[in-house]
Amino acid sequence: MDIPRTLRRRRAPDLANAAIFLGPALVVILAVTVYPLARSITTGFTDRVFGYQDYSFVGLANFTRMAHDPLFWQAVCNSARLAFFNVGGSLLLGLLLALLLHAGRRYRAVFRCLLFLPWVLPSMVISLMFRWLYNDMYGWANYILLKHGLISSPTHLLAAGDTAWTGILVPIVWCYYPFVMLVLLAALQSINPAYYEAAAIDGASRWHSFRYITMPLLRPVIAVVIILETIWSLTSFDLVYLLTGGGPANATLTLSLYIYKQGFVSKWLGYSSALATVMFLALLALTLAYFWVINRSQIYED
Amino acid sequence: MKTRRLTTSVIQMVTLSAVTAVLLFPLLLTLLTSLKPAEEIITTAPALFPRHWTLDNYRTLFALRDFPRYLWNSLLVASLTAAATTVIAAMAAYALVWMRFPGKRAMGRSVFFTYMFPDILLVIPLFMVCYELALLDTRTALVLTYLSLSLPFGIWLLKSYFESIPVSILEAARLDGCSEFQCLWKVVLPVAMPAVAAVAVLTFVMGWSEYLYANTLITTNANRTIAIGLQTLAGYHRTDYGLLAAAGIVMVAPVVVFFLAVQKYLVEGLAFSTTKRPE
Amino acid sequence: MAEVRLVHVHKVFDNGAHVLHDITMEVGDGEFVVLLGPSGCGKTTVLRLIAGLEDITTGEIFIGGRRVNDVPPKDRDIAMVFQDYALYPHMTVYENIAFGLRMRGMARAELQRRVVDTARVLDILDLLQRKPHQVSGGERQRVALARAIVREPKVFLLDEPLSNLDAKLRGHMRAELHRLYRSLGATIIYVTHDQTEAMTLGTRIVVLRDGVVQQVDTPRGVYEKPVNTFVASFIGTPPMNLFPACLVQEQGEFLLRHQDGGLALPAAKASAAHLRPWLGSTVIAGIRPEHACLHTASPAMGKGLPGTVEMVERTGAESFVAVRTGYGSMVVRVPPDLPVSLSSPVLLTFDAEHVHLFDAGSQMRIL
Repeated sequence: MDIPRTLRRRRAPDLANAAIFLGPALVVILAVTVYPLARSITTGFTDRVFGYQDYSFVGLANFTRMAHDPLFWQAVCNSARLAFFNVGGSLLLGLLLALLLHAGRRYRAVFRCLLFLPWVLPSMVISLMFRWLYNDMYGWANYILLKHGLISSPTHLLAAGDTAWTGILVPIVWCYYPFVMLVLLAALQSINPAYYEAAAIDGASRWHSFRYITMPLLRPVIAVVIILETIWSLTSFDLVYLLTGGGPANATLTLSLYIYKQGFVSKWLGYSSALATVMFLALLALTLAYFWVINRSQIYED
Repeated sequence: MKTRRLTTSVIQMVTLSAVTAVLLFPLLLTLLTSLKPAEEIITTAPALFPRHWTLDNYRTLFALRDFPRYLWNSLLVASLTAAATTVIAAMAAYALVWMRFPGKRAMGRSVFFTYMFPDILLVIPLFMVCYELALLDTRTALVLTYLSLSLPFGIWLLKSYFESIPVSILEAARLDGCSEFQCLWKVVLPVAMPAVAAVAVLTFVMGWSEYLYANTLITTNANRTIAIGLQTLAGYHRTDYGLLAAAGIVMVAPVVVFFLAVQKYLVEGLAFSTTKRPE
Repeated sequence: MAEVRLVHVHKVFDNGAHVLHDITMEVGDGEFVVLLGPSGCGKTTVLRLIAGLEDITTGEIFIGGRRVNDVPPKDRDIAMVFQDYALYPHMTVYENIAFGLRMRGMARAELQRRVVDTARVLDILDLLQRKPHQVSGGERQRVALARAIVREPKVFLLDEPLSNLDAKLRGHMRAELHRLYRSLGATIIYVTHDQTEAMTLGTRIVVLRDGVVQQVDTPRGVYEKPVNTFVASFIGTPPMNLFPACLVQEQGEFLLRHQDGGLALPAAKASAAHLRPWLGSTVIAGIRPEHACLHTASPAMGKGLPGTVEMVERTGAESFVAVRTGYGSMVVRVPPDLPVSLSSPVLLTFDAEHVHLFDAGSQMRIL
């Protein structure tokens, strides 16, 4: 017994109310996110320079220029390098801390709170702290390295290419591990303890329990964390900019910094926007990957 | 058995404390440095704790003409951002969870999409737009542009929380005679208070700490926020690290206090909202 | 108080699921009507349509003679008790009960009087200052009821209100609800999948299956004269035994023939004119466990259905024996002290007065 489609009365949508409730958010998002993004993409096809009114569309010129720009490729490699080490470092540290917190039941809340702190600290303050730690005369890093004979004379960590990488990776990992720790701890706590009891009855050792219960159940969460941390590493700007400014001699120049420098130092808005478009495409791919992972996994569902 | 459990517990406690101490060392060092006199800071054999505890650095800091102004600017910008974000995001999340309109799912997802756009992608066009609208070097520009960072996040977090509220409560409110605004104001917001507080606090902290936009959109000292103010101070007082450490601590203090106030919910909400399947 | 009428109501959800088919029913003023059916049969949807929480696709709903298709929920003058109670967690019990009145702009003194009166009726006076999470499940249930009652609506809608309570409390609240219904004299529409609740509370029962009304009758009528095999097997614990048999007429007597003999239908019940169309064909016979009789094996057994004991379920006051027969497993109620041993041969006889007959094709009741 079917009713003809025409006879069906669909519930009137709450259009008026929805417009009132969503309107402000939509206007703001369109104005400060979507519109600027569109502007950025279109500007990427022009030769616009800041301070000059005239500009013309140059097609793909900015992108061909990019292909022959050694600095662009260096920046891409540096971004990838930063992402690789940051994701690896924060994942490792975060996982270890999560396991440690999960094991230590008693003071978990207090330590979780303390260990999460770096995540909320302003990048300006983090850069100040580490700049002071790295100070070649009075900093603790030098003091400790000298004392243990790891270096022979006072050096500024951020002044040489290879040590500069260590110098920026430490604070970056330091402020990105808390998120990993937090999410993995939540995932660990959501694992039904009955699984471990069942495994113990089946004669599994602690390592086996970890290997065959904990890790498989954490895997989808880890996948999500890796994608998010990759996105954040690729786009991170503040700490690198404040600590090395991309130096020495562009050794730590990442794509984010290159976009900024082309736009605000060289004033090449067109080229800078084209660079931003490339980053946008990379992020788009990663975001789609995020949605894909999160949709097919069974995270937090029993 | 009992003693063994006790030893395990002690070992865990000691390990956790040691790890925490190492990880929080930079923060601790900054705090202690801010309480040291200059001659104890500029030394090649630094001690962790000050021999002479002093608040001189803080006194000098607040005697600087510009420092209170930086604080005030940050407070203003951060509060306005937090207030605007919370109100707008709560309304939008309410609509996305409980109202019926075409394209709702798509809209909910695109909100999350915009959450992925980082500041570095938007800073150049936003700079151009602010330039064209003559908004450069205004605090208004900061509040507006901060919304691009905070609003998608706020909507997303509130939406996840709202989804955990049983729809029957809302239906009961409608049967009791509430309009949509009354449902939001009298039922949803009080029930979702922890999430609302977390969004307000996080947004405040974001506005308080933000660096990139503040650095590019603000050009004169009068409108600088604390993040840029700190950079300015670091330029003038390069070697006076006690002063800079004190300024850093002053900037960090409200962040830490606010964070501690909402950490319990924040920590859960963050883990939950970023790893769960979106509706 | 008012009556509720549904006329040819259909409901199709946005995802295309057609969950209610041509529902037409009437709930009289002051009636306690129970919507009963297995989960997913659409009974809660019917309730939500009456409340206005869902829009109807086609058809009409009247409350107290007024067509309410386009009336928003708050103006329908109904109150609803939700399955999960839906108490506002941030308000005290008092505020929960008062909220609906407050939203309707009732004066403070009057409001307070009504809240307190209602709380007294439901015996929750000393809980008024607590928050919902500080009271027990049964108390929460009372608060939810109080919140509905205080509004003095025309119609009460109750959606599985007892399903979240434990068995003992459920029995208690069932009695309480019955008492409330008596004293309020209200029109109540009550949704449940629990037939005990339906049988004990309802003045009438509406049995639903897959969005179609199967039968509307008094509890007794539904039990004694189920319109089809679905209702027959859904109502009653353990359910009615159903088995196929051939209907024949021998020496003017109607017989249900099965492979081991036959069962004569009582002359008073079986009229020739009525049963003629089914003569010689297979019908479905139904017998409730209490209308079957178990005989322990003796060689000189008369007519009956032979079988072996498969399982014995002793509940204390009575026992149920499952017997494997040529027609499948049948359950018989026996006195608790009857000695039966597993796998022993037994004979079943049926009380012909209480045999139900259903058409094998349409599954509809014949007799």
